[in-house]
Amino acid sequence: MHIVRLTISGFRGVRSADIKLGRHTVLVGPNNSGKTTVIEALALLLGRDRLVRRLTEHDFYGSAPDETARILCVATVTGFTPNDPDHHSSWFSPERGVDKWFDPNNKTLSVAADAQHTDLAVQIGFAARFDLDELEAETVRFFVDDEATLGDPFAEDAHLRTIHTKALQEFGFFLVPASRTWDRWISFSSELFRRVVATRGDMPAQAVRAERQRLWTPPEGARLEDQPGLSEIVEAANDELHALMASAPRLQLRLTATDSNSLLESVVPHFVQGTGPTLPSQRQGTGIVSLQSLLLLMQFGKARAETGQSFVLAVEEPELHIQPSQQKRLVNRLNALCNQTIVTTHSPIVAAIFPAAETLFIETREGALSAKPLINAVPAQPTNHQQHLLYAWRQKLVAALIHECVLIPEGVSDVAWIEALQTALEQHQGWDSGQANTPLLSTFVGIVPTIDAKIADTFALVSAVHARPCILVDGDNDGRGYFDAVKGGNPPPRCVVFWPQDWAMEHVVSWIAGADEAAMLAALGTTLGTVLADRQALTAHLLTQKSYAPTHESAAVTLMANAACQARTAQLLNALCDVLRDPANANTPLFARIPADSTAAMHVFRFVPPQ
Amino acid sequence: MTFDFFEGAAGTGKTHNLVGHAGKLVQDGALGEGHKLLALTFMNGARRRLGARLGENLAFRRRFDCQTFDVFARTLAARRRSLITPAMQAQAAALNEFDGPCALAAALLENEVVRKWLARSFPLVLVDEAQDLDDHRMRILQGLSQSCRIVAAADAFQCLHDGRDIEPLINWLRGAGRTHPLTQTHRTNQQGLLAAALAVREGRDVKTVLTARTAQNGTTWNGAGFRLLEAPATQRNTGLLAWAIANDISQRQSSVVILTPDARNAIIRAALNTVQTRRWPRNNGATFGPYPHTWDRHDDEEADALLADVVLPQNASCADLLALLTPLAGHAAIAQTISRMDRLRRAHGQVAFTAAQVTEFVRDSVRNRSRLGFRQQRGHLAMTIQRAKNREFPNVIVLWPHTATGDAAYLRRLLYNGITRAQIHCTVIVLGQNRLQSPPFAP
Repeated sequence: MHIVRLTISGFRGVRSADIKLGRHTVLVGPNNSGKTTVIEALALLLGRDRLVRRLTEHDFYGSAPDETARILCVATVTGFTPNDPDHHSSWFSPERGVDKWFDPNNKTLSVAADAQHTDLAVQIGFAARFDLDELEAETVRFFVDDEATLGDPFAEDAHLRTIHTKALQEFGFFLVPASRTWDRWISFSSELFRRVVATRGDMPAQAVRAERQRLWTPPEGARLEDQPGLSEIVEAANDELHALMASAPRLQLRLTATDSNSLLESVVPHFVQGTGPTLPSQRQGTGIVSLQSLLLLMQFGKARAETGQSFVLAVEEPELHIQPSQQKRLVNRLNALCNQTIVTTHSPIVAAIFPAAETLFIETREGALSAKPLINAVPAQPTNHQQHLLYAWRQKLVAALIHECVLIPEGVSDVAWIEALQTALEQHQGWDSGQANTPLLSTFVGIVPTIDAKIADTFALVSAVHARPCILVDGDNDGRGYFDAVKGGNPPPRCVVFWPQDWAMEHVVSWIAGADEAAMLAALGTTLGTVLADRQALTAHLLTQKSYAPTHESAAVTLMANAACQARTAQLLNALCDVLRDPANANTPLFARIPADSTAAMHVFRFVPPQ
Repeated sequence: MTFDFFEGAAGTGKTHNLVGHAGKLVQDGALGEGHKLLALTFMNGARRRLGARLGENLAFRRRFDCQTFDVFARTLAARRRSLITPAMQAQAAALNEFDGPCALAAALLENEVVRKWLARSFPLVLVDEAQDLDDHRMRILQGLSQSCRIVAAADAFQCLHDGRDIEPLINWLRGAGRTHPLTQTHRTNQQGLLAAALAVREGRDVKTVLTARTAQNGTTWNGAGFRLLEAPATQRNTGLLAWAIANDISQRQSSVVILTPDARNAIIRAALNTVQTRRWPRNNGATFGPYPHTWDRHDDEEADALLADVVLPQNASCADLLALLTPLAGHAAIAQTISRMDRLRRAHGQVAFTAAQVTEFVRDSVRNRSRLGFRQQRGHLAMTIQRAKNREFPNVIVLWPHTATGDAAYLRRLLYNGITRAQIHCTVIVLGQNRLQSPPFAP
């Protein structure tokens, strides 16, 4: 079984959301975009009760719930085998849910099966309200009979059938949160470990009982209370007790609470590497522990798969503590073992493992969460360039899209220069660098690589996913042409930046060098191994090196060693960042609005280098 | 799907056989894991009694669900609402609040998906008093019979709906599967009681199976366990009727239930009021009476009586109503109303309620409590014959006023139902004089 659709309303920062989920979905997006809210909504619907019990005011949208505030989540679940309600009476009956039919191609639901709606489905709901008198949340999990006329689940006349834990166990949802205490996983205090032992192994009851017995009555001479140093204190205590209580209890010291449970709970996993010493897990590097624990989880999944039970895993940031080579293997293993995986990540490497259609970009604006796939499964026929972006450059593309704004420059060298300058500038930042010198561009703006000036292709792909795409083009006729190709888009680029007339990125680099022209011409001449008579010569040389990365890097490093060039670069990058992030209110002398080209939805600027 | 139909006259053990047969089916494995028996009744009283009866049978422990047709239909129509078409909706909209949902449920049950869905919880359905099925409820049962095993019982003669043609229904029941005719009467072995009931059912003169005895008070017709007499009574003079009732009660060993086809009849009301309070002397100096009794009241009457001493403001805040009603919170229905208003305030932000709303809440609460069987009654009971359907009492007095009207067949059914409620003794008191030569007492 797996979840094909999830709607959320009123939960945390999400006023409304409608998300279509694939079999192996990855959720990407900047921090605070709502990824965790999606995962936790699934836990409210399908997980164990622990999360539900701690709902507070802050879990309601707006953090100040009134009497009518509701959290409402609805999941559509499909993948029943066999595909016949008669075989699933724990889901479809008057005491349980109502059978519906799902169209896997168009992702729509129907009350009756037909040629398109072929997959048996059930809808389940979770609702919560906050009681202002009792100061706690009331929650209910229920079968959704008819989503369109669901109404308020807490209404007096709601004919709700609640969901039994047994049905949820059958579904087998498991959440691995980002804040995980790995070292406690392989221990009997972990619910998961107990379940794994129960399903895959056997409780080592005899060994536990023997150990319990030994700890309860330690052999003569090994008892703590008899040891020198302790015995005097214990004796003194016994004397006091004797005077106070008729039964004259005697103090004894034991290592556990001497029942089986406390023995099991005190089990701490240890690891030994090679011939090294046995060390407890908290003394290990976090990587090995993470990995071992996830492998344990997989054992659980395997056990469920072998008995024909479903296993759905939601994992936040599987990349935590794990090196990239293992990330890929791990995620592939998870995907292979689970009926469904829903993963959140900040790692372009992890994101790139998933199919493009199941890579969802999550973004929340004014409470409306949108989840857009990197590419729509139907009807998309990506162009050659788009395919290149989607497959060869997936990681870079995803990394750019995770930002608040996305910038599409005209060519590869623009990307290379901006990144090189930014990196070199950041490396020269000291504690005394003021706010003005702190480049924010890399934090807020992701840059999508473009080859062969395929701005329109790239823009079409990006704007389908991201709400704030911007373009950066040269100040020549070609640049104008690229702008003309995308300005009619729906939506148009939010912000468009032109370099000055007849300028390309290389002119901008020369302009930066101009902050301390004589010194920089000399230094760059040495770095690049050529004599540079003036700025024109520098520009001309750089234009011959457009696709040569070492030039970008070494020139940037040289420039950023100079304080005046640093200041000019920081000024440029920060101004660019401001313009891209908030073009409607941008107020910087470096970029002048071009009113003739600007509209309410599209803001067009030209770079004006101060002389 | 099997269909077992038990048919027999009053007292032949229809319900007993019905429950017994269902029990046997369950023992033979008719209910799988998670399955329940669905028992459908017409009224809440019958639902409660059938529920108690099923609860006694070990085969059904916690494996039955007893619902009225109305609740069953309303729930079905609500849960499968996505399958309701505008045409179905239009058809139901023309009907009343009970028949509308039944029509919707019947229409939904024409869909195989719905039938199979129901059978996944309820593969076995039991219906008693099936003669009372109207067209909509018959269609519900017909739908269910395509996916569930059915056990049903009926006696055409006990249908109390004046003017309804139940022949098509009875013919369908007889043809739907196996019919089990029941002929042995079990309710009573009082020969006079049995003979009188049979005479009424067959439209003969009741007096011919009884022995006339004339004393100073007039003539009575008697048989073992049965007595028929006339009591002259007018609006002005109800004393004689009151005496006749009290005198009869005084002769019974256990509780007596008073039945009448017309509970609003003024003469009967007045006479029963006298019975409540008056003490009568006997010639030997002993006395009899008074005999307190309660009307088996309609739920709404009881609810309105609870609020009789309260003046509800046209519109008031939750807090004001709480202050007003809390003194009455000793009545469970009022306490429930208070907590319901509190919940509406807390969960929906409703801060004010109208008088009509509060009254409706109290009525709902009384209804729900009576549905769950929480109502208590003291002393003897008085009720209409319709309300007494399907119930048994040791002693019954039937008061037959002039205001009992209808065609001869209907009057016979009514009287037959009244008489056959008695297990030990039945007295029929006919108000007025010279009425025993016409139906339902004679051809």
